[in-house]
Amino acid sequence: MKRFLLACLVCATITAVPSCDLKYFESTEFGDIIFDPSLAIPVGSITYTVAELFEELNEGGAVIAPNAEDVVTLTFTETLQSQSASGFLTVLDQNFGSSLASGTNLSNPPIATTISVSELYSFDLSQTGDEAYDSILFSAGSFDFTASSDIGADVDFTASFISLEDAAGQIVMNGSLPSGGAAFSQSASLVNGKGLFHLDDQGNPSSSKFLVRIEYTISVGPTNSITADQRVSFNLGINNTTFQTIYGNVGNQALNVGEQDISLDFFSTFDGGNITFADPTIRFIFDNSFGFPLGIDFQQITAVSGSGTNIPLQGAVVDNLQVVNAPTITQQGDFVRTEIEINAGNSNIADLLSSKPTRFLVNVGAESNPTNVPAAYNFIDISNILDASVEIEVPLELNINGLTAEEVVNFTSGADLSDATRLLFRVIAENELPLGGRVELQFRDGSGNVIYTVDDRPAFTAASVGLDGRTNEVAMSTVDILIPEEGIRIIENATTINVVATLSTTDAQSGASVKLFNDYELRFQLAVQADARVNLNGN
Amino acid sequence: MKKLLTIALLVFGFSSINAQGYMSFYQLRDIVPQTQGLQPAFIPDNSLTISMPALNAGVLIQGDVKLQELFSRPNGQAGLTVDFDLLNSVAQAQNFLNLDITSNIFHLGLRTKYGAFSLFANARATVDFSYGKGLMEFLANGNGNSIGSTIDFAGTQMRMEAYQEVGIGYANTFLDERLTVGARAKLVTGIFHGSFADGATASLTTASDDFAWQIAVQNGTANTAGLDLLFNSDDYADDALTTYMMGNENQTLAFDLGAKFKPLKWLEIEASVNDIGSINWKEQVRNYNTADTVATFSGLNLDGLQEAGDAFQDSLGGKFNSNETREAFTTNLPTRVYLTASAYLTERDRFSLTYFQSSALDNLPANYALAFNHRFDKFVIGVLGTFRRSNNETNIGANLGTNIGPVQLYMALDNVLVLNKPEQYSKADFRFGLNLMFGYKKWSKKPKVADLDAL
Repeated sequence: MKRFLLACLVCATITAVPSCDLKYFESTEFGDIIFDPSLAIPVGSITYTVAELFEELNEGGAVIAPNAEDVVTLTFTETLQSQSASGFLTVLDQNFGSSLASGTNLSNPPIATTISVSELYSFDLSQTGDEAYDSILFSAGSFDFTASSDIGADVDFTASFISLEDAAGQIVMNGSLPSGGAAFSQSASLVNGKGLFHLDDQGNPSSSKFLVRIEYTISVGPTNSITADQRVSFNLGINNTTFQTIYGNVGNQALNVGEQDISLDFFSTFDGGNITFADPTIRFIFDNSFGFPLGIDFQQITAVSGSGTNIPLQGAVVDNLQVVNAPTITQQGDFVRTEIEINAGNSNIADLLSSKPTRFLVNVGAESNPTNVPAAYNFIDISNILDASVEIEVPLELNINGLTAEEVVNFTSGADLSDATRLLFRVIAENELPLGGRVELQFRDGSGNVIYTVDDRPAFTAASVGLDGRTNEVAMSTVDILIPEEGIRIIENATTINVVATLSTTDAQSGASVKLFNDYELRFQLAVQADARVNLNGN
Repeated sequence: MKKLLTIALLVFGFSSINAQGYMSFYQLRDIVPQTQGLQPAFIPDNSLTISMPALNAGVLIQGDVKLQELFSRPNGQAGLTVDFDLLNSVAQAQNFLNLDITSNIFHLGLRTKYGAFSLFANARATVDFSYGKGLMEFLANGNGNSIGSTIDFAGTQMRMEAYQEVGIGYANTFLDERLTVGARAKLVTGIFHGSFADGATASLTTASDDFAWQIAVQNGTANTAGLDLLFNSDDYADDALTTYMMGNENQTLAFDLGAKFKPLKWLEIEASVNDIGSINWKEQVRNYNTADTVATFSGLNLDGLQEAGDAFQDSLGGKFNSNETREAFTTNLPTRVYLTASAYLTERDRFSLTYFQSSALDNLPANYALAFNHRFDKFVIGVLGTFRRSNNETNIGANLGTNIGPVQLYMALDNVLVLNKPEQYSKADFRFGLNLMFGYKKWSKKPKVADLDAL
């Protein structure tokens, strides 16, 4: 009996294991291990100053900085075409000529007789307009002199060019004109030469006078005969000159300041809605080293809106010739700056900017010695220049009412969303700006088609403004953006997000303008609750 | 064979397991000399015992989740998976996972007129892990369900260690064998250890408005010994690990104490306290420390942010002051207490009620077992039911010990039911071994009445 029991026990024990039911673990493998938590994550915060906020709308075209009142100001600067001295003024070639008769009848004198003749000539310089030069310092050019004689005896002459000096002093040419011989010809370099045209032939102050004295002697021998109308002819020319400096009066001539197309990319992000600036200005800055005043004519300043509408600048600043001052004779080499401001007081500039222009067309005319400026002694050096630039200065003292701004940002995180099954973004805004906004997110595919939209919703609330013009609170707001799984699957294929913001300033409906001070901040705190389904096996 | 392999995998590869008491094995008492590891007052029924080297071992695993909860098979899915949602749904306020692997390397027993001597060597590895509802809630749901509230990771305890012990034991009878007192002294050499410092806690509070995290850490120290040598062996000499395991400075003297008393002919009471002592870990020590911190993390400064992942990690890590030190630390051995009351219906039939408690972790729940054993001339058999905590299943165990000739085969299971549909259970253990045993006759009691059947 005991052995039987023992045998039973041993058998039962041995057979216990094979009789197990292990189907749960048979013919199976460990599958994917899925981790599907919901994680609430404080992603972080980002703080925008006013300047940084508007920098997001700016594509580098504007400088964003506070003005003297600490109001953030957009400044667009463009340099207009410079006017150089050589481009403005050239010295014409001058050619003069005359002849000087002997004035004596003499035939076969018994002994050799010498007759002297002398004459001072005064020529007027040729000019393109009403310019009148006192003197010209040449940097290049030549002086050419020719003389010939039809006198029946040998002639020795001296030509003294009183109005012309070369590096050695007054130019004087001597020569002989044999009877029946060849003509005389001689040139002199005008490099570092000088033209003095400030006296007339009487020694009185004048302008543009070229003086030359011609003297010659006739040696009449016993075989020679001369008559009184026989003469010495001469021609002189000042050719191919360039000037270093000119003194006198350059007259009234046009200067080329040029036409400029100024891109205002800041406004290109705006679409619908209204924006009105309280105190915009366009400031033209002229740096003039020419020794004469300029008259400025704002011939055409036009704002071109995104829709192609042109609004011309109008007002007193356009109607009246503006004056650019010049250095005095004692300020040679210096620049004199003249700033001409176009503002809401002298123009309709506010209307131009309220049209949300994408560009400004600037065409400025200039002339020397305008008629509305007292006459002044002029000078011009080859190094003189007229630099002109324009600054469009837009302080952010403005009224925005339902202004729509769009900004396309790249979206490269689609692939990172493959494990997400639900995303709840929470955006907490702490806003010191008197500017509120609603935001719509349009996710676009590679072809630019909108494939998913997060509907328009308040993103940040405008702070209220106190009596001192500054905001007196931090406006808090929270917005949740829920993207369900089907939305996430769509967004995975997005390549860009078009952020459509609709902006309004505090009490915009009343037309009140607000100032966006430099110390205002808009802080976004971003958090996300992400439901994810992560395959820990990596499948 | 495939089933055997599956069982082996379940037993040895079950990482979340939890094991403690060897309750069924305990019931083999004087029959199997290795039970002296649980109760030093047990005295074998033979004169000389020699264990078969490396053929005496046991594995105990026990958790608060069933296998089918740990490795679940969702509807319509062929493969198994780990479903944190399911684990969270069955998680209690405090949950325990335990694993114990014991190998009796050598045992020599010698019985004397009034007692018994033993010389033994064992190797043991344990993993004890305790986690609160908060940890599983976090693993299952993240903090998304706890916005505006706190996830408390308090109650998360972890302790793993491996050590070897060599010792001697002696048990002596008194009062005409009604009282037996036993003790064992052993030299314990710690090999590997990893544990959180006492009182280590952490919590995560998620703000309701901006989801900011407030992370509180207290006593954030993880003490380890030998693990750097184990996991970064390339940094050490080739024989460093072997040399370290054979002997190192992480040694202590420990004791097992036990007694059993038979106040009445039918009643026997037993008590034992094992693994009394502590190890001062001095060699191959690494402490990973985080200073007490209450840190608030509100996210990153997103302005100009490039590598968000790295920045997130750096910013969060920067909130905590962490370092690595090599300071010695002391841990108590996981003391095990057995209390048993046995009622003898006959000299061969015994009912026992056993209580077991381990101190490996704080608040580790006790195990209870109600057992019946019948002793034949050449073997003993028994069945028992074990129980731990109200939510856990009641298990049926069995044990068998033979003394067929000089060879003793024994095996014991706390939950024999685990062999059939193991996915329905959270506990398994298996203890088996072979011994060479001599001298039974000298100590067998002569029947006072002639056995007519034998005649």
